Amino acid sequence: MKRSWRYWLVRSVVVSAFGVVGIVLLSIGMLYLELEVSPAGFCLLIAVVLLSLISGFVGSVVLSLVAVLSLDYFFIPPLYSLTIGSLADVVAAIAFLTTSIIITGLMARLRKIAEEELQQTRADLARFARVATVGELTASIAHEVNQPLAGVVSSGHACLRWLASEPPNVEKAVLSANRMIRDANRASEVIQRVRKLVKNTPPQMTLLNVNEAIEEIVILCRNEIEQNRISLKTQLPPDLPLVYADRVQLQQVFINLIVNAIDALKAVSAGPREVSVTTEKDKATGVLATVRDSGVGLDAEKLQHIFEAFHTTKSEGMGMGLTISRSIIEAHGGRLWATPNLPRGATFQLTLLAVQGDAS
Amino acid sequence: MTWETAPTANERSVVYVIDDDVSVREAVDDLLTSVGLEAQTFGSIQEFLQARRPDAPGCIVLDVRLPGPSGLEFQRGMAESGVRLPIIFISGHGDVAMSVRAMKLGAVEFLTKPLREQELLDAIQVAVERDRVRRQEDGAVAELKARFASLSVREREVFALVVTGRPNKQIAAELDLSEMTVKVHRSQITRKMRAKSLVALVRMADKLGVSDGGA
Repeated sequence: MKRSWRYWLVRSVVVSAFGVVGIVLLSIGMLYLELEVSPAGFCLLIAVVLLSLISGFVGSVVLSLVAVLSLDYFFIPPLYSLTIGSLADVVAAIAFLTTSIIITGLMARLRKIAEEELQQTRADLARFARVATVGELTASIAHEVNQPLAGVVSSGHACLRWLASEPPNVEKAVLSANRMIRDANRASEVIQRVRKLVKNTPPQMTLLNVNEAIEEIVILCRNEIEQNRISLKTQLPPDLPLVYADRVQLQQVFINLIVNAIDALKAVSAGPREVSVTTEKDKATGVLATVRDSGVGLDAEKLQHIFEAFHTTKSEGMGMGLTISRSIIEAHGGRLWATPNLPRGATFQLTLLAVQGDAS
Repeated sequence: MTWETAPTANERSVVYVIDDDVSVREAVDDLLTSVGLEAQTFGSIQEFLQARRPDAPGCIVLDVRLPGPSGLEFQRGMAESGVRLPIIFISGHGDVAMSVRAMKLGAVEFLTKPLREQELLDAIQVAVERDRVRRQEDGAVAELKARFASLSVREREVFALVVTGRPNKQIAAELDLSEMTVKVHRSQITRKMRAKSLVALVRMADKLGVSDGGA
């Protein structure tokens, strides 16, 4: 998770404060041991490098300066003063400062690279999970493409027949052809939607309508839902405020929650088979979305663990879906949590920060 | 077999298309209209059951997978809803087990989408023909029943014995009548049932399920 600049500032200040005290104490200690300038300088340099491992870049620079000052004060003659006696002392001080700053700079850079790599790994993992989830919907997506294509083929036959009739019925043929265009576009839209979900694109934050994002997902899951004889209810009020989010990642979360709901219902033979997806305005944050099912449900013990990595209740599950979903929602400044349903099933809810002003 | 014009121009037949997908529904409707067939489309079983159907031979082109009761469930419970139309199933997937089940329950054909025009039209022709024959037979039986109902109680008794091949004398003995009376009854029966011969009468008795148990 990306931490805010405030976190780093506080951390730098705290580490620097403790560091300064530590360096001064170290210097006094070395003074008692009657160390020479050079060994004392090395010790201080090592102390600064170690401290800069845990402080930010700013903290490192502060600590380097303190180390140089305390070296000057305690070890460079004239002792117990910050005055510099000779040119050699100036050079030594500058050399010390440069070395420590370069080293701390390198440390900061390394840390940044490591963080970027971690981010990348997280993004790759999220995409991997997304592709896997979309993969579960292959049959449903194929159906969603095949239906309009079936329409195109039949309309094509009809169009030819209208043209071949004596006299040709051009008016009817045009209607058939128009329907072919409409249906082919419908098939193409489904494919584009899936492509966007599995394509490797960096996260893109945009203003978006959560309802639209959900509707697109529902279409892809529709056949899977029907096949399992589930009734899906959506309640997506039109006056929902816009959110600032990455569409693909947000859709990933909803696919995950809906597919989980379907899976939870597969194991159930009696009773109502319902999944509901609703959104509403939430005063505190902006948008509250709910995915509710009447499936096998979750007991208190399971509830504690479902968001943990590699924890799964499914035989084919990877145990990453909810973990990733939660990290996605939290990266968007929201929350994702689960509660059991009565008499059966589970409810997953998430909040998203709304952008000021309502959807236009 | 090819089919350039509707073969039943002289007699009305209706194809009922039930599919929840609007693209498929409209396209199949258009295709059937373009070959001169009368089509009616429905988005669900309920819609179809609620609609008033014309009294004409026809068939159902039915999507296997529908919201609510599926096509297969409908086929299983079809008799209860009073629908006796032959069914042509259409499905997005070539599910073998499903098609076998459908065919066992008497489906005319099981086609996968996208539909091949000729296969669909051939299947429709077969299905409509099947329905026409069924309706004719139903009609014939209903007619026979009406004729049988016009017989008097005594005539029915005689009828039951006549069709077993017994001579008049024996029938007269069994029913304690004179042979002359049996003869009169017999000619009445032949006239009322509009049978040209004894053989025709026997066939009618078969269709009506009349046996000599009536004596």
